[in-house]
Amino acid sequence: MRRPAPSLELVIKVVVSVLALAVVVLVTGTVLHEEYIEQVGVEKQQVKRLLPTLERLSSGEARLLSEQIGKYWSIAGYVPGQSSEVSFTSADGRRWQVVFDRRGIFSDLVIKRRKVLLVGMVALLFAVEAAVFLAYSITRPVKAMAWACREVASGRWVHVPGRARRFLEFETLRTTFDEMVDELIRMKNMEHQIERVKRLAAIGQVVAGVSHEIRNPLASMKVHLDLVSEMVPEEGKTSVAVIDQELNRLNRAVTDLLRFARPTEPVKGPVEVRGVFDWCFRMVKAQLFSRRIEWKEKIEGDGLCIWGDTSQLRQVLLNLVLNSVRAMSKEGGTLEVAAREEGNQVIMQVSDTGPGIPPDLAERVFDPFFTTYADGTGLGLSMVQQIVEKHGGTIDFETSESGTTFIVAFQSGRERVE
Amino acid sequence: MTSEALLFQMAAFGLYALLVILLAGQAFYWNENRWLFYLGARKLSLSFSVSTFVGTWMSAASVLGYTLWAFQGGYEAFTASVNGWLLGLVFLPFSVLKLRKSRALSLPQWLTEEYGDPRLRKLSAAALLVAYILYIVIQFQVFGSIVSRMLGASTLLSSLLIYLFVIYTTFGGLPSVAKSDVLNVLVIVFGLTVAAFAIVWTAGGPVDIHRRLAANSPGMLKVLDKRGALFTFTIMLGWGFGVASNPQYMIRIMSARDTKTAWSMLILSSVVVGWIYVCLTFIGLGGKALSFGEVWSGDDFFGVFSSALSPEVYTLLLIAVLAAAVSTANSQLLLAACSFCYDLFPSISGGRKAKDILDEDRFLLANRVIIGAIATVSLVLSWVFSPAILDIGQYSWAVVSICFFLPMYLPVRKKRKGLFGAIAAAFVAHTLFVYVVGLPPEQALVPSLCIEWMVWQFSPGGERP
Repeated sequence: MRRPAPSLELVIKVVVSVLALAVVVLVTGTVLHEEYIEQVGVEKQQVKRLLPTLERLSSGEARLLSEQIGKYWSIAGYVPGQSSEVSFTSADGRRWQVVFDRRGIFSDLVIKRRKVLLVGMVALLFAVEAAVFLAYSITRPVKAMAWACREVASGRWVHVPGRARRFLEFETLRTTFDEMVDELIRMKNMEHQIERVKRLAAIGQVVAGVSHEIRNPLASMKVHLDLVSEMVPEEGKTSVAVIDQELNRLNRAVTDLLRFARPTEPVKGPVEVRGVFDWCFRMVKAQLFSRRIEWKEKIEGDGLCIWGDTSQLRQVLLNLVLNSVRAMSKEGGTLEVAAREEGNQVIMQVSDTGPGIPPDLAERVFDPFFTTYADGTGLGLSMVQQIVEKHGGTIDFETSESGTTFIVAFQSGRERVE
Repeated sequence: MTSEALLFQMAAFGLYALLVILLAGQAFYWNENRWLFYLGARKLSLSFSVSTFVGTWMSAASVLGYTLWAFQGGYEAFTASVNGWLLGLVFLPFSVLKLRKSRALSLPQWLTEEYGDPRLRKLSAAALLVAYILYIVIQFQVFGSIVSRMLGASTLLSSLLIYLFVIYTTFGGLPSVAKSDVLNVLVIVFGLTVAAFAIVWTAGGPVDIHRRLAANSPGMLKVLDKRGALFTFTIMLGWGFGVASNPQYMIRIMSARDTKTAWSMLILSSVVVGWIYVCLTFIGLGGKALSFGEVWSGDDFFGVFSSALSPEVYTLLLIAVLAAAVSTANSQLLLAACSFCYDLFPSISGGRKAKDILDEDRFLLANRVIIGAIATVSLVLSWVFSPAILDIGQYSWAVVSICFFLPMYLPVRKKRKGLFGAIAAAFVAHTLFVYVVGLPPEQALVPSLCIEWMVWQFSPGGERP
């Protein structure tokens, strides 16, 4: 089995520690060596100075003098062949050699300078701890980058966490990665859009065919039902009424489907926003009342108007409002429709205080036939999006647990009129 | 001291320092998180668990304190202190299943999760923080005085060394502490064993030591304190309860790889700890016996050993004490930082789960900053050391026992509410016993625990749902 690669942090720590140790050893070693050489020189000087005196003394006197004066040197009988730095012959003719206690000099030096060694050890520990933090500052950005890569690989689009990096290289890496993620998100969205368009086209074709096939028999059934209804005795009238009602409902659904599948081109002109709001309020007034929903209307600016198709704009607002009403149908709440002008655009907002759209469904709200209601067709928001796009506008929404706001932007009608 | 001995001590200390640097774990692990940092991801093997348990058990204060007590007081030291500590060790197995079952990262968190009162977490964490800071001060002091004795440097510079050692080993969290503890325990056991054998050898054997003590100081053969059996017994209980409720040991139970490892750790550790106490007893009593001789006299504790032992053995003894100081201080520093960052100010941790990888990283960095801060405070306190710190230190262990002993070991009606009030009552009672009645803090602990039990037992509120 392959052993895991060593950690960069460990390598940095070891390298810096070894370097610090080497520096400490070199510095303290140099200091000690210099002092050692100096001390040896001092001892040699002393011996040199005393040499003439020693040569005038007898062996016993010379030995006594060396014991009294020489801290790090002594005299010993000369041994032929043994290298000796200094040798002399005493007055009684005996040959002596001077022996230096180099170990003693060094030991005393180490003891004398032990504080230097201790400070060196403190410096070494500081250096090792600094190495640990250096390793930390280098490896953390890499760690954050690795985390971001893992997240992206698992399908979660994230940027590299953390603040801007101190070092140019890491900052460049971070911004490049973030830009790459942004680009990938853009491409993903585009792919999603293309896929959606293709899907819609396919659905549209099927829906148009099926709706057409249904609509003709429906029209025929409606005509014949009208004819038959006059011949039906009194006790059968209720059933005929129910059939008529259901045929109407079926017809509306088919009309919706056809409208979705073959959208008509908008006939644009200036449409006053207040008029659209008032019309919509009249349409839903009864529902609002029965579901205890408060209606709030806010239009900033006078004579605010949109450049669009009146009936299609009404359709947009009505669908959004009905969507909000449904979201608040259990608990009631507040429904706010608002409009304001921003540059050459009119921003229309429909907000509710419902439970919000769950995050896992948020991406699919504009998909045709997607609905969370048992009796819904799932075409309302798809049609809204379709109409908005036909008008060259945009639609978006914000949602949380305290409600949802749909934001629609249309071209302002004021400039066109002027 | 001869220059040869001094050189030897310097070399030994240098070697120990290098080994700590090289063997202690790396500080910032690639995949670290608080689980790894505080509990070693609950994966410590038996050898690491035993090492870190014994390492944290053997503090410099207890090694020196007990040996000095044996040196000065004789057999009573064993009766009152070692018996008490080992009694605490007997309690610990009863906490194993409770602690292993919990997913808490700290003892204050365990207390709160077990009894459902967030105030318990803050209170116990604050108690631990103060107790550990004071105890770290003592470790720094002991280390500083020994190193200054060994190297002839100032205490200030010497305690700076342990400061750096401890910070270095604690930065890596429990895995790093456990690694350094392996080295420290080897040094402690080896150093004390060699020193004990050398002392006994020099003194002529255990029987001779006993005979010398009997001849020169018969009072040292008494097994009970001169204040009586009750005093000895209550002191023993106080120390035992202190050990049994010390989170340093409980956290090692939590960090063991599995429950079986935790049991094995307690059994093996008790053998090692027992052996160390035997060594310390012989060192203390043997040193005293030798001090009666013609060569060594007086009560100079270090003087006796430096004269009686060869430089090599004496150095081993001193290095063992240093290792004991480092091994306890780093474990206490880690727990103090945990109490501060995780329990007292949980906002630092941003709750139990981090948002992204850097959140966790920032939390662990905050822990390291706090480790540095606590160590710095302890260092400064050790420089302005006063005996009052030792007194407060003794008091603080009683506080920790009051927080954890009954909640951990009381078998009946333990889910009863009112623990916070009971602990508060016990604190008040303990303070009164110590400062009004004049009892030693360890002795005052036993009646304080009785009061805590009664208040808890009779406080309103039923079983916790």
